[in-house]
Amino acid sequence: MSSVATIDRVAREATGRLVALLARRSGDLALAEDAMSTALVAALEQWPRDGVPRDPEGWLYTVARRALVGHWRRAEVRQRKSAALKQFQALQAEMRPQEEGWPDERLPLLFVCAHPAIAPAIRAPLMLQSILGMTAEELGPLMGVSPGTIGQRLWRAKVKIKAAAIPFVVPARAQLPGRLDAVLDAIYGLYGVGWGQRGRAAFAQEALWLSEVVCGLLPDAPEALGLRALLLFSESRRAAGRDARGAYVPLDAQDPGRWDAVQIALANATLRRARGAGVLGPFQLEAAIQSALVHGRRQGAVDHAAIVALYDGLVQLAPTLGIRVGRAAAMAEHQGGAVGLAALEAIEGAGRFQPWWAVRADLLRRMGQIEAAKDAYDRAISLSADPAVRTFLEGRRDQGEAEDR
Amino acid sequence: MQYAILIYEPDEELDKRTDPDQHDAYMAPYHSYVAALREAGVMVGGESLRQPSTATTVTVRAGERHIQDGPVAHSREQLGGFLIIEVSDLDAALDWASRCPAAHTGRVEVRPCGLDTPR
Repeated sequence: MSSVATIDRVAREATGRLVALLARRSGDLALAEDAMSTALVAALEQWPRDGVPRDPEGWLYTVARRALVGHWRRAEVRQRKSAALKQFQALQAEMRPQEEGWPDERLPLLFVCAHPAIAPAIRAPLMLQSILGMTAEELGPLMGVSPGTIGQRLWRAKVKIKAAAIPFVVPARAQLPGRLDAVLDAIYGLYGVGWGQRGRAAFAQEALWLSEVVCGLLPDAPEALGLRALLLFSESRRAAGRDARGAYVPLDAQDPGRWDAVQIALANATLRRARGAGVLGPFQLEAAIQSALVHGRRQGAVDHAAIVALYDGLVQLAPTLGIRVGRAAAMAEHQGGAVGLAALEAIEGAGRFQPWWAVRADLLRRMGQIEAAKDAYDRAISLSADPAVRTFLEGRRDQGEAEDR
Repeated sequence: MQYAILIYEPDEELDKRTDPDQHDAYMAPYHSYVAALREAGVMVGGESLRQPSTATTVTVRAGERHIQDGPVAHSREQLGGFLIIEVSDLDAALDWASRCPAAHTGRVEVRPCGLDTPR
């Protein structure tokens, strides 16, 4: 393997672990990332020339730690502050090379990124930058803002983490469920950004990877497992969601034979592990709905009553727009279009929510109300970001009109 | 770490301070809150502030001094007082802030004390 490829691989695997370690020691995420960059730049200079060291991660850690200690020493000289000196001495004492491997501090770092004192919208980008080493240049386009804007928001968040002393700890058991939900929500949001849109698939992969990290670090957290199962179910259908020409294929028209059987098996096994803990949560219920749907489609008979029952439980726990729209769609399958439409119309505040209009359009079309369906399709199309989805909806709209004539 | 706990209260809460019938019931939870802060050894200082209507705002522009009746910000909640506490980190500060009576009747802002440094 060339040394550039080695740096790339080591960087990907080590960045999150080392940044987490350095950030926890210093309480300063921005400084930890700077130190890690210094180490990666040094590796790019030295490894091609001198060869890749035997323990690349240990090498990176040593160089990054030196950069961090150098910063503290300069700060100490400049400010003569006892606090800086104390931190510097603590760092020197704590950061001796560790032969037995590295303590994994990524979990405390994830809890810092998704701390309630951090704005929800910046949590996922913070995780991506600190755990995966993504730059503002990579993050900007993915989050739909300029690299400058996202860079500024990330900077502000890191200044707050340091200035307000957000602690690098895993919350106590009593607070854990609520705090873990914030971590899981950020990962789920990240997956949502990455799903369905070409060029953003990498984002979904990172979300999947983060969910694996969390499950590895908290193997008994049922909702972490539930989220992982949910993401795996969704991933298993990614390929089937597009035909050979790249056109969008809705779930009910997908060929179950094209679903990824390995991912489905893994998702089902993960969900079973979650159920073993005996504490139900929204992600587990959403995954259970996916599981029932996948099973039914493969058998050729979906148990719509069971799916509606799962949705009934889900809206009790998490009455989000997406879930309520999903429930209305499930009710339409089980009890007919009129019931589904009534449930849909009972949802308030969905005026700019694309799935609400898409489901409404589909129900009206199937009920033969072509004119009303056309209006709903127009709204759904105008709210769709994905060109393939827009093309699909236009097709359905025009097909309905043609049949009507 | 030192944090300021800034106490913001709606008018109807602040009015209880001057209402003879409500004064004692209003003050009691603040007395026990401050006692708890002292007992835990986290209290650094703090003051209750008089009614916003007693405030005077000063502006100097181009050497000219302007004096105006009233507080700086006009919002539904007004600054009614502040406390400075010394705790290990933000989580501890947020725990103390959520025990402040105004967290239940108004809003409480937690800010780290200190100087901002140039980037």
